Amino acid sequence: MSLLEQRYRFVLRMLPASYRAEREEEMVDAFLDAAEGVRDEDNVRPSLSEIASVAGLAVKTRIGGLGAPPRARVTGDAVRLFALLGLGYHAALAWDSLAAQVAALGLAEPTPEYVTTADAQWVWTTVWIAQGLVWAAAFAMLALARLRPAKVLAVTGLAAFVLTAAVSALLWPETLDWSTLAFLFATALPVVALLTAYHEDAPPVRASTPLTAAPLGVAVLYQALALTVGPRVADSPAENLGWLVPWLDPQGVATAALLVAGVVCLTRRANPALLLALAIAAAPLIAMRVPFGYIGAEGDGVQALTITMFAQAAALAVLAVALSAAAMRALPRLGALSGADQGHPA
Amino acid sequence: MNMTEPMFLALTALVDEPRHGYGIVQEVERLSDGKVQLKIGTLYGVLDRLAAEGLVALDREEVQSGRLRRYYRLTDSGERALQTEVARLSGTLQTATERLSARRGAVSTRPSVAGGAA
Repeated sequence: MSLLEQRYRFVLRMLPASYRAEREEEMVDAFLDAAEGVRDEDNVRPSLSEIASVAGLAVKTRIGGLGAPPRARVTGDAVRLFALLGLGYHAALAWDSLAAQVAALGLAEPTPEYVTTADAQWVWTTVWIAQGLVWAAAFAMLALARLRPAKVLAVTGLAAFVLTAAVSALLWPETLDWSTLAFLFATALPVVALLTAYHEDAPPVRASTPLTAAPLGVAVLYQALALTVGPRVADSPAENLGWLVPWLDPQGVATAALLVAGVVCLTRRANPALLLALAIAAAPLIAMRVPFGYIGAEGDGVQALTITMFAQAAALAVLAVALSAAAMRALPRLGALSGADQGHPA
Repeated sequence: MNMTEPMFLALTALVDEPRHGYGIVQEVERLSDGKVQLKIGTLYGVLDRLAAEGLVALDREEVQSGRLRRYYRLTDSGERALQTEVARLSGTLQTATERLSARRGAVSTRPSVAGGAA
């Protein structure tokens, strides 16, 4: 075996084993045909573009689309649905914080007392508003089946978040903690899902104009919850606050919603792509719920807060395992080619 | 079905005879005047999709100097899909040609400008 062949076979290990069993030999044949006349002394390696093409094929074979085998197709549908849910979460979060940021700029009354409107605050607030609008636009583009703009906007949003987190970590090193990293993971995962799962073989997305407003609706519902439940909770003793607060912030509400949706899907025997999508969605929430920042901290209600958050993370982990297992069990029931050529497997 | 350019070229490469992987790469390069040089990973992504849609099928396997070589052929439904795409592209071409002719007609009635329409 020539040096180049060894190297190319190493590159092919990116592909799933079952795919390699079927295709590796002919791919090696085609590759070596193209590299006719290369000797070991030349010390040639597969070009970056060849490696990139194998990487693209590896993504397509694992996160399947039209014509993919059932397991890969279900994985693909699940990752596509997760991308939609994840971008939707960030868009809802953006609409929710937009109101607070507008208030911070003093454009709306009442301005909360704790907000300082120093010049630096203006800059940060403007950046946050712009970032939020990018997520809202990215989700809207995906809902309207405009994939390229959706990808560009999502990458822009992620890059902006990384940049602001990096700048803030340089200026105030103490701000770089576990919660920032967890939020970065939660922000990046749907973007990675969007970039990898909506490839050229992905089933066409059905454009839905009403769906574009869904995150705004969720944000309105959340605000309604905050305005009705918030004041009552604020009057509770500090000890009780620790038990309640982790269910009331956006991540807490998302955790509760995911737990309820997951249990409903498990009992209703929902389609495996939906089960798997919810299992993937649990991962970023688990990362954000692990109470590393509070362990060992002192104060009224902190212990209750830590226990609640840890319990949430544990419940999500159990749910994710149960959902994945249920999805795997449901897979063999599928035919040779899964599903109609539909967009989001809702 | 949304047919991408590599899919269209790969199908066209198989019209006259069955070809193996690198044979398709070479033919696609010829057909596109060297503009489209399929990488092996891309080629097999395209072949997977075409085979799943039933547009190409395995023709035969050979062993050449100890290496496996598979030949693919265009199926009847592959031929129909290609004809449909050709008809669609022909329509687009015709429209473009007509509009260019109309534009040339309009341009030629104007006083000519140095370095104008070539």
